[in-house]
Amino acid sequence: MEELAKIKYDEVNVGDEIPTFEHTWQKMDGIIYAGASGDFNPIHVDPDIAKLSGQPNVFAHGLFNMALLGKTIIDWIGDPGNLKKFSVQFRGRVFPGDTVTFGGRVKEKLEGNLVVLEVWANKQDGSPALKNCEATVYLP
Amino acid sequence: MVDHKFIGKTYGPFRYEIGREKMKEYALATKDNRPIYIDEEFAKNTKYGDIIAMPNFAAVYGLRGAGHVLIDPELQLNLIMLVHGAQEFEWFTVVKPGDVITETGKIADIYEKGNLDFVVYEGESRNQNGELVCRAKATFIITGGGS
Repeated sequence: MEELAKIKYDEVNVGDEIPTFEHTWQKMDGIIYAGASGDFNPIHVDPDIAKLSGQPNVFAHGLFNMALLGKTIIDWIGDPGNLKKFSVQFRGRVFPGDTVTFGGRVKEKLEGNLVVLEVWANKQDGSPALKNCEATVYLP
Repeated sequence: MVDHKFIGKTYGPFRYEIGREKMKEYALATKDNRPIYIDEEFAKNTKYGDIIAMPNFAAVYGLRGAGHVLIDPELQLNLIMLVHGAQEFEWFTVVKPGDVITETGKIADIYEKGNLDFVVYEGESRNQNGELVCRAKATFIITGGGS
């Protein structure tokens, strides 16, 4: 039997940082995400429409950024079924060529093997793509 | 300003059948190729017995009511000025190929802060066994007046 869970509750301390993940967003990412998600809002795929809406270019779907932050958390815990709760605020647009670093830190250990993480996604200039984000995970 | 009388307005039920290839497509589109999402042979030897959807696939099956809020002719939200401000998911069980998800939702709140209007949608997704799968809460922000 393949065990998915990686890190154990007892191995984790408040303040521990989880390994970061980095992604440079390209227009193709937005097109592929639109097809996969069914969200064809043109401001994410059509530069002409993005400009009409006052933006310099197309930008990443917020839920794409959230999924990549989710991946970063699951890379650390191992078992996707152990991600219990996850919240984000969409704060900064990610344009073609922007590099986002996804990371997190253990904020609190709760009863019942639950761990609360403070998580984030920041662009190369340090400004947030996602802010005030939190995840609750179960660790065996 | 968005009329507060719409607080409590319900949407759905919306039915969504989970497709094996669609789950994989979503995982790969969000840069996650871990075997439990895409490799049936690997998944067979895990406690799940088959591939599972990445948790954030809830964006596809669990937010359909939110899409209807945005285009609701009664609300007349100004989509040009609207942004998805915040998102929260809570999961209770995993999603597998062939699961049939039924989502129902409602406008949980409408409020103002300064020049910003907030519309909060809450959806609840259950699978074919009636088990709660996911709760989703989406907050939309409309700048400069709601409608």
